[in-house]
Amino acid sequence: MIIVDDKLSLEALAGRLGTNDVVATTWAFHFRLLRALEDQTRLGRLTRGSTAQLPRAAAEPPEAILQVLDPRVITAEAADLAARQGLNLIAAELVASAVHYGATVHLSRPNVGRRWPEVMAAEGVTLRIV
Amino acid sequence: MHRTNLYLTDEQERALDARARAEGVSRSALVRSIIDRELAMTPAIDVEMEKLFGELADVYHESTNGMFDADADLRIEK
Repeated sequence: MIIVDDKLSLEALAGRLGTNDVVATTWAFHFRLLRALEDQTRLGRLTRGSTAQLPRAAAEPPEAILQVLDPRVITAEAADLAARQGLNLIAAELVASAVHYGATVHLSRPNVGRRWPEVMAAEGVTLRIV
Repeated sequence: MHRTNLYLTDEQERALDARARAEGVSRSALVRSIIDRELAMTPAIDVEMEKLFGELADVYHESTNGMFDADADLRIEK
């Protein structure tokens, strides 16, 4: 499994990721993506006039293309990581999900937090910056 | 209708039977309704939608720059 951020989730929906692995994203990155698509002064203006299927497909993507991981499965692990590593919610959920599922994390460069590579290395998570 | 054999885990079978009892329907009827709901809720992504998702991806970071900076839970700590 590959866990991706909000930007790479769009790449998956665009059919541009080019991988045979299962592609998934966390709840927090999925929320960021949907929030961005709803912002009519920025990204959302680009979706005006598009079919209503587009926001639905982003909100409920076909599992074969992009899975949205249930955060409840890793709540305890994320809370532990947040306390031990000083991570905020989005980072704690990401790292805990990667550890839980044995997944590799792929992030677009602007979405790499300052301490994330160090924390992922310490937790045994492989990070690829795309 | 077509007859189809499925392999379920013990846990899935228990959960299905519990839900079927609660809803007063057969296991088969419940499986059919779950499949109907799932297929209805999952729109296919066609070539036009892929193209638009690609256009959104191309401008994503530029368009969302700073959007989450004030959110302690969702910002990327730099």
